[in-house]
Amino acid sequence: MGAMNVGGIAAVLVIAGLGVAGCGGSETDAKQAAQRAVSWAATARMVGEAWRAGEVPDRYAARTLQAVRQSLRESIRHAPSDITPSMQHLADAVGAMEQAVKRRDQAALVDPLRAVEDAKAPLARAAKEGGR
Amino acid sequence: VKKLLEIALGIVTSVGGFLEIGSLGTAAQAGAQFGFQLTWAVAVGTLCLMFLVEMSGRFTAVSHHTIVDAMRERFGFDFFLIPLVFVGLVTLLVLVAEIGGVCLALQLVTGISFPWFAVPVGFAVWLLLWKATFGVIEEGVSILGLVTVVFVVAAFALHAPLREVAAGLVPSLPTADRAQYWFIAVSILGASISPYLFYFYSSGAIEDRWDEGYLGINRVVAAIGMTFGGVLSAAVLVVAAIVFQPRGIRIERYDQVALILTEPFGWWGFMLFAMALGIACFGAALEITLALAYLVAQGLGWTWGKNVRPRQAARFTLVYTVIAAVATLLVLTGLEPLKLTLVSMALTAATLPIAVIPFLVLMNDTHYVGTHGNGWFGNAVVLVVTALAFVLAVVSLPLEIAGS
Repeated sequence: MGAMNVGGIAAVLVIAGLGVAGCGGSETDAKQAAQRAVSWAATARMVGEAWRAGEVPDRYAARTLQAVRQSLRESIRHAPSDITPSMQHLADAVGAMEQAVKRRDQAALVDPLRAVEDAKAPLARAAKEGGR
Repeated sequence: VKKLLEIALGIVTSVGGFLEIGSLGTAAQAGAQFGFQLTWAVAVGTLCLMFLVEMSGRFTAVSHHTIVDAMRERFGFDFFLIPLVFVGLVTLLVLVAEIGGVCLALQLVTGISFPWFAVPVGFAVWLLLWKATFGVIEEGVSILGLVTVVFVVAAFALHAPLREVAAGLVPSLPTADRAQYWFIAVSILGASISPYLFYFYSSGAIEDRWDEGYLGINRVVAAIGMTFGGVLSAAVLVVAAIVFQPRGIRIERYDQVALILTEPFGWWGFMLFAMALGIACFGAALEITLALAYLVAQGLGWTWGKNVRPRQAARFTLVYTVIAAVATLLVLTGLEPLKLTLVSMALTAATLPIAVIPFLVLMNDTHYVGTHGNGWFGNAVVLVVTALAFVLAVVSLPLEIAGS
């Protein structure tokens, strides 16, 4: 009886799981790519602000910004063409942040931080709407 | 007084040794992406672990057998090969992730790429296993691991909304990213209910010469220690939800998680995170290397034990030496640590029935446990959670791999 109950629960879970699987693929590529780009933009901003406040080491900040830039460049190759210009702007701005951190030039971080926000805005819209 | 001290030490050891790369990584990812919504997975995993740890201590104290030893005796060597291979391989992957975690902590502090630290860290794990007694390995590193309590302090410093956190204890469906939601849920379950934990606990009970007089201590330590440990995991999730979710940050790399404590604690937050990650993963790496060596040596009937000299248990010593070396080599390949963590945790969940169901049979066999067998509630909790983890893993793991 106990084994049958467990079997029944497992069967229900399998069916629920297959439902989950079916739902997983409904999001558009544009939406997913935009969501990831928004996340990278927010990461770059958080790292930049923490570095300016002296809360993280230089090498950590430079390495993380480099990783963000590389991830964005990688994503651009697979992203739908309507969001790639914004992603490109974002990657360039993160690259400029990385250079500022490597030079330990806090003042030079201000413009790229603003550029990150500018590039993020259309991506955030695409992330909500699923791209155009 | 002696018993109270033993209980206190047991609880401290359980709390300090609870967090490791799996629970840290999965909880941080869950909080960043789904807010407090996956708190239930931490609670369910912790509850199941609490039962399993209590059972393994009770089993060993009463039967004077380790789980592995009894499994081979009860089901035969041919059957035992199945858990040996599956649990062994998945646990090896977890070990790679833990050594990688120590290396990542060093990378955060020094800026030097983590694979460069693989050999020194692997050697340090081996050296401590060679030189230290079981007590030093179990208690020493766990006491240092109390630094992970910083996540609970951070949750309060950030004014965590307790009502919303409590609402997350009730399972609910996400509005988006369902496949990712279930994959993270199963990874949390895998991180909480790793078989190496209760295999290790059982071997530890033999190393510490437990008998029936320890049943009360075992019950209290399992209940209180695991509850506090679960609170630590939940605190990581809560802090990640407060710090990362409003910013729209999804965790794809440990570099991102390193910012989790900078909002409440500034520069110290970054350093405390690196310390917590490094110490927690180092402690887990020691336990897992030892647990794998116990698995092989007990399964093959060799002399084993950390309280005997290496030459008296030469094959056991050789096994943990080889395991530490293989895991170190795999870290050197530069595998992406967060992906490795999540996949190894989900694989752990997928292989849970292989480790858990034979153990439950033993826990209901009067030949081993006499009148101290399981009640229906304990059996039911462990069976249902194991079934849930297994099914979710089987469904979500291929989806996640395909999605990656």
